[in-house]
Amino acid sequence: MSSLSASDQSLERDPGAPEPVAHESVTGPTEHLDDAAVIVDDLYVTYRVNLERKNSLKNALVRKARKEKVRYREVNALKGVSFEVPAGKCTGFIGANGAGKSTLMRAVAGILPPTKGQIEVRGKVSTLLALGVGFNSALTGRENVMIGGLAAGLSRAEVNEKFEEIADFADLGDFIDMPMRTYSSGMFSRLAFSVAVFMEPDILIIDEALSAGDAQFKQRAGKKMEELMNSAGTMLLVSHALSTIQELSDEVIWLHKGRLIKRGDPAEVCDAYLEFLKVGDEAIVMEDF
Amino acid sequence: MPEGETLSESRSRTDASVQRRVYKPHKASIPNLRDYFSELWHRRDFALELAHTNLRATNTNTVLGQLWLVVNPLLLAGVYFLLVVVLSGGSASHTFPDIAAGLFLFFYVTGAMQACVNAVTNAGSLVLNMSFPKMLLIFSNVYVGLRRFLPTLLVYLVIHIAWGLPWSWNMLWMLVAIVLSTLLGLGLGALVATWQVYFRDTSQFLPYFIRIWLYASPVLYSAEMFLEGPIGRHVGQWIQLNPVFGVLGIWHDALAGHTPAVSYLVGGTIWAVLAAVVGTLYFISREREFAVRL
Repeated sequence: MSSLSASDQSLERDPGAPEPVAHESVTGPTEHLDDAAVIVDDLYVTYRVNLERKNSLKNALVRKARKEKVRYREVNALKGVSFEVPAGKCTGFIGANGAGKSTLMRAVAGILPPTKGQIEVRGKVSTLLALGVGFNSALTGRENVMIGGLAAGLSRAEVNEKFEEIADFADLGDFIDMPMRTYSSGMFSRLAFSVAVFMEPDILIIDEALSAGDAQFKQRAGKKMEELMNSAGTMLLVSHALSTIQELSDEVIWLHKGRLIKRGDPAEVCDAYLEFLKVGDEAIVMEDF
Repeated sequence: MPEGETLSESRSRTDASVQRRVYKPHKASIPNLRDYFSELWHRRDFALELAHTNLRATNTNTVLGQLWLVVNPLLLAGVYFLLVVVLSGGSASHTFPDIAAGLFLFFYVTGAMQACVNAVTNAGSLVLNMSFPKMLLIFSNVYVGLRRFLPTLLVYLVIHIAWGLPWSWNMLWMLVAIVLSTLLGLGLGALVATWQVYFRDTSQFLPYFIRIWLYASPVLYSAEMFLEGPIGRHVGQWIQLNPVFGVLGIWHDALAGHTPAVSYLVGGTIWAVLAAVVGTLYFISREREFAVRL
């Protein structure tokens, strides 16, 4: 909108807090590997956050009449991120809340447009960014498997073909023909997870979705993930569960406030991340007293 | 995002099996339309399923739901008949079947718009978590509008029989009117759905706009009355600027068993195609921004 104007400073979380220093593993130029499934090149994503209570025509007209400018702030969610994910490998992403992990996943999936830089994706992408996308709780599990599968880009015939597998994996018994509003939250996420992992994508993007269901289901989910990995699927995985990340990933990337900090061996990067968190905690404690 | 820098996606295939996509900021805001529409076509099942989900969830496929779809416009037709014909002392030339038929078609166009206006804002989780051509949402909602319109068409046929009106091959022109109305609903629906993303009160203004539009359209009065009758003295040929004028002209002529006037056919087609093309392109040029604005 042309009447908008930005304030000079963009929003930042914890200004003045200690910043991790970017490791040399992320400061070099991006290698354009021939077998890379995802190449992210100097990616910037900036959100414009409207500070109006409600974004309405009425508010806009009132502001115009008063000759006030519409207030908004810019949030630089990603600031020059470059990396590549080799085909068939799993890359894990860690970082504090607000580091830009989810934004990065959405950008790679083609949902959020880059503000600057570019993303190249080679292969069919399936996303598990949120559980049960497109699901309608008034409808039965069976109907939702169809809508979820179609939403993920399968054809009707393909969903029908996979239906038994999906239903068996979710293990809902007779509940598959009950409206989803009658499901427990665990059952809901089990079905949603099953729909997502049976899509046979070339590239699977998972954001914090592994904690679906009870212990038994988690075990099966973990097995299924390994199976997916073995079938040469490329995976981008976001999780706060560092043990899961270390187990599944071939490489881990640490993001902080929209910048890459370190990438490399999973155990090494996770250790560096934990080390930084500890320093951060102490700094807060020191301030309090 | 910097001003004026809208995004588009270019997509090509390096070989038959691997899809290669490059996402980058782009000045030109409309993506490759051939790719866009081929993707849209591949995903048509999803649009249909979304519409069916919508219809199922709102009980449209139950007996009472279907009955309501029929009773509601019929009651409205009764109310307007009372207002326009009976209370005005019978001076109007429009009969009950005319009013009912006009209302049904007008409500098809505006019903599609009302279904579309929240199409994007209500699909927040889909838009934020899946990458797909967003026009799917518009097509899906126009289809919902069509499914709600079809029962009223049957009701009209019953009225047509009950009033002993003549049958003619010219009634097949109704199909042309329905196709043009669909295009009109699609284009205007895409426009209001886009505005709703920027101004969340669009959906609140829409009913008022539709009510005024109804009175300014040849629904309760015939198109001829608008042009030649007392109303015509005030509006004259300007009435042709009403997007539904031509379509309703075709509709009423067809129902009366006449060949539609050429001016209606030309005007109706121009408006329908213009609305569909402009609405669709406007929507597509903005859709990459939706995820940021929801």
